[in-house]
Amino acid sequence: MTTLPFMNVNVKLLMKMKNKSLLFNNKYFNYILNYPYLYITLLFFIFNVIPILINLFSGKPLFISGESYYHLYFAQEVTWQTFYYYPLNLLDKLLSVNLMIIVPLLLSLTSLYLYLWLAKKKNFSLELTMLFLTILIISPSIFFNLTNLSIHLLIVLLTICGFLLLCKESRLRYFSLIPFILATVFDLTSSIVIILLLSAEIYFNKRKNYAILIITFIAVLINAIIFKLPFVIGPFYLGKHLPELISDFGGLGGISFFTVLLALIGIGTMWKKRSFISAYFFLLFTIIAFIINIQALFYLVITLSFFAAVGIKSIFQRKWTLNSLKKFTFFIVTLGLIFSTLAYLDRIDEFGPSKEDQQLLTLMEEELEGTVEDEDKIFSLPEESYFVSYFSNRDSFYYPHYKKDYRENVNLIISSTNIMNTFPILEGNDVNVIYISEHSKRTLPSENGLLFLLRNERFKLIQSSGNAEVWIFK
Amino acid sequence: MQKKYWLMIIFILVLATRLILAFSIPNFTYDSYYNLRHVEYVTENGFPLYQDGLSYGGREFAFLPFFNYFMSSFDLFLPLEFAAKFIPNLLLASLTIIVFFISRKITKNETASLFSALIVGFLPILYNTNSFSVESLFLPVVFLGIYSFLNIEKRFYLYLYLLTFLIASLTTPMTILILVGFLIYILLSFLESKKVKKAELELIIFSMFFFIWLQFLFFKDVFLNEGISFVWRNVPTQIIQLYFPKFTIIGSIILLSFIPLLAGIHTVYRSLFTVKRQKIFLLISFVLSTTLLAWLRLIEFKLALAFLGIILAILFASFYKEMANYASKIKFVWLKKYLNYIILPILLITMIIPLLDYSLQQETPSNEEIEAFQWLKENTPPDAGVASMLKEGHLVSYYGERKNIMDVNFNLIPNIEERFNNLNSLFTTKLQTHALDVFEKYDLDYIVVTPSAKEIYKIRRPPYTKGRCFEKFVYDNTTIYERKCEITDENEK
Repeated sequence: MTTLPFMNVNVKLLMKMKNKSLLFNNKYFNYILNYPYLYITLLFFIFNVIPILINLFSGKPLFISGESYYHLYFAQEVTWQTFYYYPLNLLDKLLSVNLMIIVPLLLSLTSLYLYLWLAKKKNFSLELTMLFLTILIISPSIFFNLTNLSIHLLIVLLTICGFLLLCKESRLRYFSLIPFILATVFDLTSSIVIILLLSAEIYFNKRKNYAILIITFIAVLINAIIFKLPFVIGPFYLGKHLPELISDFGGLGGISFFTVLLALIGIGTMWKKRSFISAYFFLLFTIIAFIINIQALFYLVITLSFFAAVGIKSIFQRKWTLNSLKKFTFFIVTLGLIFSTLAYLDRIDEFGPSKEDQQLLTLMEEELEGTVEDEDKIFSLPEESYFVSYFSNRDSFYYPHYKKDYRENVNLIISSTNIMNTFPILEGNDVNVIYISEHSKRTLPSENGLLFLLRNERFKLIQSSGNAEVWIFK
Repeated sequence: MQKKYWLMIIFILVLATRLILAFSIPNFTYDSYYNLRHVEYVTENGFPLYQDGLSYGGREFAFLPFFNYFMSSFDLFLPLEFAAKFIPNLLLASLTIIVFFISRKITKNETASLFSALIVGFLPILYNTNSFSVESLFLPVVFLGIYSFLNIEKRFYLYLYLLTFLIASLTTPMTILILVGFLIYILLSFLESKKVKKAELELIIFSMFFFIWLQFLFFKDVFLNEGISFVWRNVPTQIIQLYFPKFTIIGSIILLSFIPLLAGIHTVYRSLFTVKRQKIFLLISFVLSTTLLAWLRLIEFKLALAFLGIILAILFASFYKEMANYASKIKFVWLKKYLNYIILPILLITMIIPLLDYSLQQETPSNEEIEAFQWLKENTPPDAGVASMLKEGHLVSYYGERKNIMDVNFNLIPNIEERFNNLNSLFTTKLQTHALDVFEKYDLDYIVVTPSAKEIYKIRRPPYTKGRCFEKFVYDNTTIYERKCEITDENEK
């Protein structure tokens, strides 16, 4: 009697299990389908928790996204307008910044479990669900969101909770309005996504929940018109669309080229099926949102991952003339997906603040005392401005998500060779501190631009750690 | 005489012509020295030269290694310079046989297929006889793959296709041309409501994923560092026209040969709008993919023309068959009888002259120039940096075994345009301080001024080399200057 490796499970018992893979009649695939929670937890641990642990042992701050530091920085002073930052404010006081990584990890795992529960309740194809979640969990963009403080994480959790409540037969389903309305207070893109999902639910479901859709829609309108919701909160970094979409081209997040390819196959093969029609609306909307604002990539990644799962299913569910070629192609596809993710995980130590950044910026204020005013701003690379502000507790000259007209000035400071261009901008905006991280030193030209101008006598080096430096401008 | 003997005669004739031209023109084209050095390295060390200490003064390479291994297997028992002329010409001559079989598969007409073989054998664009490049392996392998794809229902050809595709994918990224062709083929078949065979579809899916995975394995760093612009290979904008020139209609017609081009256009038109034969669709898809990729500047102009020329040669068979059928239906019965005698001289006349002209115009360094580069190896310190014209960069590293400032492999090199401008300024600037600055920036000690450089830059010597700062060594018509001064900062004194 044989047993599966590492698992004390009887194969004969496995054969009796009700879920069988249609892709491959293989015991491992069947096992995944019969133990979805265990599989998802393992996958989540391997691709999301282990990289964090590696960063932890190297002493690097665990949050890597600008968005995390944006929330942490603004959660330090909570007003009635930013009431939703109270929990984060409390956590910031109770836990160290590294320990707070538990928050997104717990939220992510909860969302994944709830989604599995929802899929079961809605009778979604388990095979498609597992493929979708697998592609999603190993996507760099999802790693970037699941392991950082991201508003998207909260929106996803609220939306899934909303749909779970909506499945209830009793009047309890009207409680779904609470998570739905809460999920629409952040930005317009998320609100439109929820409206589209609710519309699809009504279209395909016998029980028409028009009231819930209409009330949510009114809430979205009020938020949009009265509270002037932004289209998307962000972007928190300056990136180009293609590299940000395809992680293999060097972006911060995105998905692998293989996922895009599989998604294209999925899009091409499923367009005739009526049941998939709503997915095409999502695709269209998420593409437009991504073109408008790079931060909307999260929703595009979810949609493309879904189509990629459909693509895999359509390729491998059919009977191939040469079965060995089918297996080999599946092997290549799996390797391709994992290869891109590993290549991305290999780069994550390049993202976010380094150990030196954290040390230097935390201790910076003592050195600056009496030299510069508290209101004076600090200049750094745009994508670094959030963690620079958080650790130094000092306002940055520029944040990528707002004051977009300042971007020209930032470029001028970074690349100008003439002090006559740079000095008036620094003086006019009370920028008296310059932070040069190791990353800036690597990426900025040394023979011109900012690094070259630092040779001028008006700049004075006051502190350094490793390759990171703090300069004051007088 | 049996058709197979005719085919052998064509093959031998083509091979002989190619070898006569290859061995009568001295040396190799400038780009070939890059491959010669890499093959030599594989023979000596057993693995490819990914960390090169000489190119650009030391750099990392990203390339597919199959061609180097393939050629180094000949280097083990043949002198490399002989093998590098003989094997590529043998491979390209073998196209006659492959094209014959493809044409026969499509037309079922052996005479027509012999004409295709003849056209491909004497296609002017393929007469880069002194070029030692991956294209010489890529083209026969790809067309063998296409032939296998056309016979996919037989298991032997299925495996042959997989083997050829594996070789092509490990030889050059230009294999993407086939994949784009396959996608266009699916699209065309879909538009014309023709069903693509199940086995074909499976092979296309496999090929696509396998190729992309392999490219990501080999070019991961290039993709990460250069993003999508990797496809333009970091070519400096000043010389991008050399690699991706705009189509000149007359030039293209001459290189593709007038008759096959007209016949090809006719066949494409008939196949798309009248006959709608699926096998021709496949070839048309490759024509479209080549045109598309060349237009997007994703493949080199010369390769695109070569690929197009071979497909037009195959399509000629279809044209010939149609013409022969037509001739038998009309009143002039003699036309069918003498058709071959009419076509043959027209084809030969329109092909031989451009072929000779193209072949004899290949740019190769003279023996004296090569000796000057060999002089570097014997008379300069091993760590010396040497400036030369861009196209001579590989000669510095191959014959001179010294660091060059620049050669034609631009990928992964930062600030390429600045480097290219600085290199040019070394031949033209009048300011000695600027020249010394460039010499120091790139750690250079020598500059080689060959007759070709004098002609291109229209100089007798770089203006700043007069005086005590440069020592002159004359080797025939080539002059080598050694730097004797360096710029010092007044404040450092």
